[in-house]
Amino acid sequence: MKRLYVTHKTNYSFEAGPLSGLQQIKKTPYSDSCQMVLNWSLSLKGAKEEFSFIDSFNNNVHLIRIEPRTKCLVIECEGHVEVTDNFGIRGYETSAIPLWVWAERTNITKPGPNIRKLVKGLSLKDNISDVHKLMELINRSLDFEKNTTDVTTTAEAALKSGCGVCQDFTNIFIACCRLHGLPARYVSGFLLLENNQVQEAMHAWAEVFVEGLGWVGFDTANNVSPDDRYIRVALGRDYADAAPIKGLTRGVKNECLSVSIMISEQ
Amino acid sequence: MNISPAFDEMWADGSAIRRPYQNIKAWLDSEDKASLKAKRRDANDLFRLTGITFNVYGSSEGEERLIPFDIIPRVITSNEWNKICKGLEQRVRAINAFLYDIYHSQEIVKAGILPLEMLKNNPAFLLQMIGVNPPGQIYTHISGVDIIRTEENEFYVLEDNIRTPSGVSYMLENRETMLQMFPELFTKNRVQPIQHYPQELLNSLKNTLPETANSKPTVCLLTPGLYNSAYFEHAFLADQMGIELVQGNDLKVVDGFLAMRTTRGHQKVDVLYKRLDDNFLDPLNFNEKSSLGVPGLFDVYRKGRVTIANAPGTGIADDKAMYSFMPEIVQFYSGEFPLLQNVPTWRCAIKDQLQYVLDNISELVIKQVHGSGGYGMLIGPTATKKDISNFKKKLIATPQNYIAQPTLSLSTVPIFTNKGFAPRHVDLRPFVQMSPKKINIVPGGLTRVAMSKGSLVVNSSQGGGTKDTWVLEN
Repeated sequence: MKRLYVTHKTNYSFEAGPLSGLQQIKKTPYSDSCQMVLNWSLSLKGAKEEFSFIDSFNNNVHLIRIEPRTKCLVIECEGHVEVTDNFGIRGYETSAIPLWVWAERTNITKPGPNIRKLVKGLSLKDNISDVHKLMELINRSLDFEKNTTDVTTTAEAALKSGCGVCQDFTNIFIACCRLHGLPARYVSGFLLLENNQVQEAMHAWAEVFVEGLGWVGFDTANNVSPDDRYIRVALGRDYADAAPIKGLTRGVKNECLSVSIMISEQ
Repeated sequence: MNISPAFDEMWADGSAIRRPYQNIKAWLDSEDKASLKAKRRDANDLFRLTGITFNVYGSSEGEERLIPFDIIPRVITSNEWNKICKGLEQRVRAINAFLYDIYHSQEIVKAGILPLEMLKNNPAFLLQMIGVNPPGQIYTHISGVDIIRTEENEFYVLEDNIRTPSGVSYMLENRETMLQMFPELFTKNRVQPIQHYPQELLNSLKNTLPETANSKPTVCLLTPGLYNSAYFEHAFLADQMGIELVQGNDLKVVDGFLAMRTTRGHQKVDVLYKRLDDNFLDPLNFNEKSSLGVPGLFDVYRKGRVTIANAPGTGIADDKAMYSFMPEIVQFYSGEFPLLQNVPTWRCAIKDQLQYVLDNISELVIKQVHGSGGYGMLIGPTATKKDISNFKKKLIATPQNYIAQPTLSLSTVPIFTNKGFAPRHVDLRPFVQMSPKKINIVPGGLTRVAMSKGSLVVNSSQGGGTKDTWVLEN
């Protein structure tokens, strides 16, 4: 069991601030069988909170309105979370989303020829060791490289290009699972790294539903199952559902974004 | 008068006039044709004057057109009407319960009554609605259920219009016009009034408030704007209900609530009567390219701070493939047999049924699962060979997009043509209002009539006309 301290700061600066702007923020973890949120706060500069709510995936969402013409928008979170190592197994949960939804394809996870080729010959049944093999296979098939893909890159395109970041590894993994009819979902969250180094983005991994175990996590980018270094924040069918920030702004000129995340064990 | 093989509501089997039409017959006999023609012209002038027009998509003749109006009322007895009402009430309650179930625990799927395939990849199934509790648990504030008659005592539901049912303004204007043109008819016949519909609708919406509303709730009508085919109706209803007609850019999320811009600043909105497709409702949550909606509106809804009528996601209950399950749906949620019958429907997604449809296409009506307004349908008996062979290709390529039904003989009612009285096929769209307190159905509804001889297409977008619909007092 680990007690983790997280600070997460997102900083936008604008040459000309938005005339109007709304954002949905998904940066607040919730307590469940594997993690307990001891305290958490979200503070804003250049914006105000309209309200917060829980979405269909049980994610905590804050709806914020950006102050018109602001030059600077800061969204800052910090808090303590206690995490239990459960070997990646989250188990069954009473989500309102029916299981079949997680086996449906989305635009990002739609399989193409490369994905089909990758899983060809792989038996991917309701079997945990098969899923581990898939994770290893994808981990080997892709180089971790920043700035080659973006949040709209599809699983198929990322696999074809041969490189990407954690969300690409995750999207490909999910696409492969769904191709074989396995319910799979995208998780966005925090990961404790060695040396407490500053991170520029949240982490992403996947969960697969395995009969007899329930939801099991797979961090394809690192080829491991999530343990007590992983804080789960938001989940969805793919990146689009779980994105830390989803916004709609009008009239922004030259936006500059910087993110710094620090996670330490306390 | 010419008797067609369909059930004629005036003449029945042709031997004697049906009782409810005796007064109409006497009236028509007493008027001379020239004066009726003049009255018909006056009626059309009235419509043009009030600006009742209808936009036809894909028409090159211009954007607005007058819907043909026929001056001979369609008559329904109070007994017939009471029977229809009971059936409608049962059906609409069941559909509302179905929608709650679909967006919560999906018991009907677990019970094996509705196949999961009906929800999978269904664009009308709104994932964002899962777990949302609409104010008063009402999804179907307004339903427009299309009913057809085939015999003296045979009524069928042809379609459930639940997303954004339209046409009620024509029902109201038809009555208004008849009252102006032929006031004497309403002294000789005891016709149940309908003019309170807008007020009843406002009351019904005010009975379905979010918990955050105070004792003086604000209701407004959201329209996509001038270029929508039903814009006239939006403006008309807002005016009749005494509420603001707004577009997306008149609304904004302010201090955590939906608010409308007014000359005195922002005013909180409690109920939004939306006449906009779900997909365009909120660019932050749905189609991000939509400029017709309100960013964040759905979040306010989810938070329980505004009522949206009808609820987003209701489209899942009114696609034409789901229609084929309505008898089971009604029985599952009401525990009773359906009082109103369904038209037998073949789902082309199912292989055997597709084969039947292909083999019998010239006798069937083929409709798009997600279509409305009579666009993209095929009427087998009147289609050309070329139409049929083209349509077969579509059916084979995308069978899941189509259903088929037998070509039912819609009942006929006389219209007044240049050559005299002639029977034409009709349907009926009653409008059902639902609130937690009650279900309210204004007597009658919109009678749509296929204006050309033998035609079964009553849709206004396809040249159909309308008539005043009388439900007689008991």
